[in-house]
Amino acid sequence: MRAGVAEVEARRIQPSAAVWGGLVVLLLLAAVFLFHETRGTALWFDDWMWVLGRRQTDAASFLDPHNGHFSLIPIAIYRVLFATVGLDSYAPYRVLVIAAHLVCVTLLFVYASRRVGGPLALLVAALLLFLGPAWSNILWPFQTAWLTSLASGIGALLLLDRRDRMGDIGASVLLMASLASSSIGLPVAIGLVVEIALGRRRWRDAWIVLAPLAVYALWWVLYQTSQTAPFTEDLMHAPGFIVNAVAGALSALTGLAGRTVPGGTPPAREWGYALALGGLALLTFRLARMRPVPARVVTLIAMALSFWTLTALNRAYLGADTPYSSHYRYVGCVFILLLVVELAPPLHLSTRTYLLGAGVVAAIVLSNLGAMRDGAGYLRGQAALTRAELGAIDLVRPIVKPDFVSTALPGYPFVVMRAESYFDVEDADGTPAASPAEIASEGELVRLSVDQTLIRAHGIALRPAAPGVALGARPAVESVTGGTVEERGPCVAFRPAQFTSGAAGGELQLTVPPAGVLLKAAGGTATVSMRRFADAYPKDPLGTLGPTGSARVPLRADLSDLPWHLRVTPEDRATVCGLG
Amino acid sequence: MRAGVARAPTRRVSPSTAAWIGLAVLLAAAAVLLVSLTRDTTLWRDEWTWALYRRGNTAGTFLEPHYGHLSLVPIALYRLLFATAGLDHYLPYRLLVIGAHLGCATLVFLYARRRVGAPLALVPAALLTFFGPTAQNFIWPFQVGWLISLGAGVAALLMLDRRDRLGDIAASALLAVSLGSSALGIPIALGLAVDVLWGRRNWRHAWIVGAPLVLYGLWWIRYQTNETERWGHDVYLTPSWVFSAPADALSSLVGLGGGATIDGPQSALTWGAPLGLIALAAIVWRLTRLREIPPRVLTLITIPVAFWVLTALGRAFFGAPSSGRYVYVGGLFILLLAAELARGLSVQRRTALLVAVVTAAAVLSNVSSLRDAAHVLRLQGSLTRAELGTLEIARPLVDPGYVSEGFLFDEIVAGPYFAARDELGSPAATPAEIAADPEPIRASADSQLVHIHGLSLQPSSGAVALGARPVLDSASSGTTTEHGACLSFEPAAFAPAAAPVALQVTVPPAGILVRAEGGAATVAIRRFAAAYPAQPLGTVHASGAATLHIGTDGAPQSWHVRVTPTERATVCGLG
Repeated sequence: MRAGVAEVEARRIQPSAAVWGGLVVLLLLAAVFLFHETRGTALWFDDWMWVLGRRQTDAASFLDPHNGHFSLIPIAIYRVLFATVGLDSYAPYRVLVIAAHLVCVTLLFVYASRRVGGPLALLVAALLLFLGPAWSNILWPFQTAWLTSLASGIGALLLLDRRDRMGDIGASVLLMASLASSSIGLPVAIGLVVEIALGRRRWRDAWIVLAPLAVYALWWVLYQTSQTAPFTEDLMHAPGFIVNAVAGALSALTGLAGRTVPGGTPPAREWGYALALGGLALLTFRLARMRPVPARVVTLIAMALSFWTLTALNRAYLGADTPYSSHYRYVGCVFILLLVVELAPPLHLSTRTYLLGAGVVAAIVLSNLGAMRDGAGYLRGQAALTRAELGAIDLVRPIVKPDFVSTALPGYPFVVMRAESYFDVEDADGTPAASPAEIASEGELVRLSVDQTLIRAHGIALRPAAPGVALGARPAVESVTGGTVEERGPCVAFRPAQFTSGAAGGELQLTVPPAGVLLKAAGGTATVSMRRFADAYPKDPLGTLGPTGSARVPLRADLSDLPWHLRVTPEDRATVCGLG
Repeated sequence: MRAGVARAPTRRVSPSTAAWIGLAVLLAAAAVLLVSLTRDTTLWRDEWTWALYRRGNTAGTFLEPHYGHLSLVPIALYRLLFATAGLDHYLPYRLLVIGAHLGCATLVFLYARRRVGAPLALVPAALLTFFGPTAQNFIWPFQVGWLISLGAGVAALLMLDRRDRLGDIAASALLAVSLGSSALGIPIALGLAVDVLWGRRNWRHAWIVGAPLVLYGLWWIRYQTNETERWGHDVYLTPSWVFSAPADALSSLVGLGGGATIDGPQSALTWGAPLGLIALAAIVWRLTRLREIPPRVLTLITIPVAFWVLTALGRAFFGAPSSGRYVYVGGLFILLLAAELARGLSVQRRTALLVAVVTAAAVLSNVSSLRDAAHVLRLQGSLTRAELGTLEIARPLVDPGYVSEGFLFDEIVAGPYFAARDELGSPAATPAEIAADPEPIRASADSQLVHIHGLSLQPSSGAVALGARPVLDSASSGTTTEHGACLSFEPAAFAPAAAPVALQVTVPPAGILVRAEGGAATVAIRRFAAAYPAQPLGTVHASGAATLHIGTDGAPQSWHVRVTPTERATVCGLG
């Protein structure tokens, strides 16, 4: 009789073929959806730090910390991609991060199915699979590093479950992989130390964690630099950070995260706080009923708490919204889901209850898909700006100074891309830079940004007008308001009307000849603005001429035939002549 | 001695009678408060759409959808009011919406009384009566359509309780009224379908819901236009919208919705989130204790959830779940559901007292929100009357296609407005009333008059005929000289920050000529306002001249001009 019950229990724990089939369908759907959503993205932010700074073949290129992280494995993977697919196409990078995410989900499913059975594990996996508020870890290839650490961590836990020599060796190797992929490996290691200490209670097994930790310590001594500058401030903020991080993760898991992309409204906190309180109450309630508390539960609590604490101690100074960053949400959610399935009491759900649960998960997934699309849209916007800025640098390649730095490139000032370094990379591995035609078809904000970069790269400014400067072709008049123009030889003279309506004054807009223009103001100042790809002139003018001043705006040819446009807003009269 | 005294018999009032008296006092107090708070309000926003464009006698006038809503009943009521009270008097409209709101509160009382007894039924009635964060629904008469839908829905539930032929017929008729008043009738119909089909398990009763739905379906096919084009991203917003809506309603019901405007509570989710989770836990706890989930509980879950889902799908892109009009609907059904779930629970005297105290505190808090919302509506009333007043003042000059300023959705177009005004009257303010309005409203009136008059600086062609000299209002940081029809202004060598260089004059009827010498001069204009607008009328450039002609209109108030020259300036009256 007893054997029969055990058999039934075992059948319940082993996922059926149907459940595996369901998982495969979910993974395929997610892969297609995520690949589609990441269309139009390109190397971004930290990606460029590695593109520019990790190109050598010396050990430091692989072993120097990245923002404090030991990133040997992801850097090696990126180096393989640089060497094989280059920088022109981002698709292989996108496939990489999507695959890493799907691996994490699959491992979570396997872990959960051994605790709560396949059908419930499927719901748990679905929550992580479409965790939109954690979009940056799912959509941005650079975060493969974190996913590798996490997947290795879950893999290590599964291998420790085997309780055999092979499993222990595998767990140790995976912990090493976790530590060598990102600092997420540290909380994973802390958790595994707790697991070995409480679960095995044998010093003989300490090697499982000590061996990888010794290697990590060696790296730390040799390569790690001090990252503790704002430590004291972070220490003060740590408790609040942890509460907010828990709130952020729980609101993401319930589809109540609100807006999750940077900028605009701050992250929604209301649901998170309430859920955190409710979660704490449930955790306390459940732990009080567990005698003794299983080692794995303590392991998972240690992992989660050490992750939030270590992150707080290093990142809390970045601001009150930092705990809600999508990459922190992902890690928090993984640890919370592992803990939930570990804490779950034996459940025998009726079909109706399961369907109700599936309906709730479906609603959460639907809500989180919106956040995922928002995140993907944000990344596409950043990619458009990145490609356009690179395109602008390509345009001025013949004339730009080697040490020119695009300050509009997403990631600046963390990403400092000198023109010379970029050209080296471009020659070696290609570039995702936009062509002039592509820049011209971008949104107005991108084109405004490109214009500013071109102005800086060209060194366009009002310059003293030396006497007897050679004149050339007359600028073409585009529009005149609040006055009249008269064309005299190579010049256009503006005379204001007797009056103008509203707040607007006189204004003259011209197409600039290839060599530039000479400007003169009379009777009042004249403000000068320039544009090229954008439809509108920038908010900040190029400069202002004094009441009787004159200045040159010389131009040099670059790789685009698109002319520059100039707007003069004079208080009184102004003359614009083409330079020879 | 004691035994010898016959005790006079004491006549105790039964708890039920006391509760009815309490309800009457509550409703009377609310009526007085609401009539008082809505003083000085007038037709606003969508009401003007109906006043201007729903005056014909074609079927379309009554049956065309209003933002997707079938509004046959409220449009018919408004038509009745147009014909009897006109547009001059808003009191009948206010009484209509207040009456509808108090009707809903009474129906909630009746519904709860049958579940938890009359004394406890006063709690939901009081909470709904003074549901301040949702004031838009009961201080703005236009929302009467929603209230009729809701009232008819609750009444239909009461009729279904009778379980007799008459009750079924009445429920069906009331559902038709609900569907004919606003789209709120749809979730109510879904709820009643659950009630009839799940509760009676007899297809023969399907006609109760089926008949009105068939009528609605016919209307939908004939008149409804596609309202689903924006469903794209709203689909993703729907789950969190639907989860937040009851939380917003809960916190607002208990007076913890935060400050409120006419649009609803401002921070309802702060308390709503924990309250929502607690309520969810309480519902699950209660349902697990009921052997079988009663059909009416499912009905009362279906109606608000359907309402939230449908609303989110159509409105999530611009309407938050905390919008007052949505919170009212959610709040009402949460109260009904609470009463339904509390059926059969015995409440101790001490608990009842605690509930009464909490209810009183919630009412007190929500009355504050109600006052704030009414204040906003009164300001909107003043603005509306002033903008209409300017149209009246400048009627001979206004182009029929002119779109009035001051209306969010451009509801007032001059031609249709004057047609409605001639037929039904107008709440427009007189010039004297505009002059007594607060400064921002007077500034709005000035802005509209400048546009209607088309005021702008005009070229000064050669010799212009001069007339009366402009009257000097003030001159700061400079000296003025009068010569003939002109005033010349010479700026002082320096101007203190508190008194910038400026010449202010009253404009003569025929207008003025402004001449700038040595530097530009900026010209600004005002009439009712005390201050000049930030945006000038124009700039006369150095050595330039311009004229400003202003046509006559129906207001006696003069125009004033401020000239701010960088050098000398001269202002002359035109002949």
